[in-house]
Amino acid sequence: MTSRSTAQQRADDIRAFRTELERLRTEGALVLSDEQRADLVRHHEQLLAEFARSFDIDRDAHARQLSVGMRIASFLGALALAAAVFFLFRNFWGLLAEPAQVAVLIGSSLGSCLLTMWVRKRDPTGHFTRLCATVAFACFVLNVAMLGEVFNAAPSDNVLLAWAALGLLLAYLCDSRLLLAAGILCLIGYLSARAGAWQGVYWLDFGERPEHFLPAAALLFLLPQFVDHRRFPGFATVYRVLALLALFLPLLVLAFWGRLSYFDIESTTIEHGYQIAGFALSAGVAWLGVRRDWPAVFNTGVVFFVVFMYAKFFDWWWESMPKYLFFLVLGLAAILVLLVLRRIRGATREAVGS
Amino acid sequence: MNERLRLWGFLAGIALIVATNAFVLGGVAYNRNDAPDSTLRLSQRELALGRDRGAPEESGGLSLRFLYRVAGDRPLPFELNADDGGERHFHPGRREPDWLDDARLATLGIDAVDLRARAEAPRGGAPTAKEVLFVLEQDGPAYAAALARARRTADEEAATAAAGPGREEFARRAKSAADAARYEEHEASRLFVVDAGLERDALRARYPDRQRFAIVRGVLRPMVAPVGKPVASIGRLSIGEVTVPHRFRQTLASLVAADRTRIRDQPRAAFEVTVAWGSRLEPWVVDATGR
Repeated sequence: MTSRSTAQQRADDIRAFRTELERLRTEGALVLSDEQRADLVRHHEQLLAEFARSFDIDRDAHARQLSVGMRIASFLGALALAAAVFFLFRNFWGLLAEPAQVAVLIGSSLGSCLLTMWVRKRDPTGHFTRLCATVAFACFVLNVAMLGEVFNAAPSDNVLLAWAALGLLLAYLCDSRLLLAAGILCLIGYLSARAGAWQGVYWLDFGERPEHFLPAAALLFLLPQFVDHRRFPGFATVYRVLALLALFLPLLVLAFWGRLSYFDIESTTIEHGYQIAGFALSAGVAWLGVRRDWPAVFNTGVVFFVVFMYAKFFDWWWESMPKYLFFLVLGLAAILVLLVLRRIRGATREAVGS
Repeated sequence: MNERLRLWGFLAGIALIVATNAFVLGGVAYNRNDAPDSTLRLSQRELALGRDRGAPEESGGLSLRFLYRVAGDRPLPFELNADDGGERHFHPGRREPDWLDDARLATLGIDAVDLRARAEAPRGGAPTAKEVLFVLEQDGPAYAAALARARRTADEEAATAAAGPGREEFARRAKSAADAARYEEHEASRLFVVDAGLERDALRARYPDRQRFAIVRGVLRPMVAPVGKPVASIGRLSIGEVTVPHRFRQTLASLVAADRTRIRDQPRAAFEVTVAWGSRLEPWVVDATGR
């Protein structure tokens, strides 16, 4: 067992197993001998004690609830501390000469990174480590941004790559999904800016062509397929969901503003093409989510299918229909989606049963 | 993840921080290492307080924004009047100069004919913003032409008003034109974008005076437009602000603060700032004095 999250998962499984075993005993479906029972309890207690010693896991529901509270406090604390660093710099920046500014910027980045390393060894729960790691990431972002500002350096997309690298590194080292998301967003920005720059677009204006986001979306969606994330629960989901956002949001824009596309054909043709692509891909993603048992992927697919549908309804009928009728149609469409999803759910259950 | 791997991970993070800072500072040193590519002496007419002003109680850094105009620009859709004086009412104009014609755009890699054809029916694939090199001219022929034009307009309006005494409209226009000429002479920016290109050496050969012409990076913005309308505009300078070093901050901060709070008819706080552009065309403040 190499991480707290996998230890916690095993402990949760043991707790669920004990509850079910008790039910089976009451119903008379499975009765273990006293000896078997004692061996099982001893084995589980040994495991739980080891986990508690090594990873400070939540041994019961009460501890788990408190742990969720600590996670929320850690998240808010990290954001607040990052903001505190920003405003601290801003407040005293004018009083420092350039060498002192450089020293403060580099020192804060290195210091916060070393602090995270030190805390990591002494914090089995990981809450304080994640908090420090988030501050370290914020310090590095400020470090590079303000260094560029102090010396009037030309803006460069390479900073996004540096931010992404540190964000992802700290995310894996400290098991932080917040930093993973930050790192992935920087990486999406960098890859999209590069895609634009290769086409001759000034990198800061890469958003003018929403298609720049599509290679990054494809790459990040496929990445968890090739890199094993079993030791980092939830990481693969973050990759997939952010990749899907990078896919569907540009598609949504292009479905209604075809002029922004690279395709040198009539806008209306582009828009129709992207509308069809939006419906087909969101339905396909929902199907993939069901097939691979990826709930977040399924939900993202369904949400965007509904968004595409509502956007199209708005395009067709907002001007021409009375508002009560328009919203009635939206409601009926939502019911239709519900019926389809119920049918898929039934078919999936039958498939699992057979 | 075992502890040894984790330790290496943190060390990689520290190496990344050091390498990134070394890269940025190395770029700064390279930019300022040789003699500057150009050096312009600018004043409060060409520089204004940067956009990120922060809260009054904060001692944040001080940056100055370049107030540049575009030579041969199309006229503003409104007239300047007495209330429009001063930096706070600085208007950059349309930034669609007449010298940015089809031939010049072709040298910048933009097909003007194609852009006009797209105005007929909306299509995808139109060119997008592009980073090019702009030539900034300080207090040169472009400013002289703008000043001469403002004075000529003032004289013409004054003559019209004199020829038709009692006509309130003529008198109002004459006063407005006189105010505009006065504003142009004493307050308007003398920093003009006069040319654009892709080859730095070619531009420097055309504009060899490094004390008057600075070559800077900027963004050119193509537009889909019908025949007769401009199809490109000067978007912005890639580095539109310059941070004031600590040793000049005290001098300039008080002047800029005084200028922000001055009463309309009072003269503006005057200062001079020497800005240099280095080998990477990144600017920095070399000198600053109050007057």
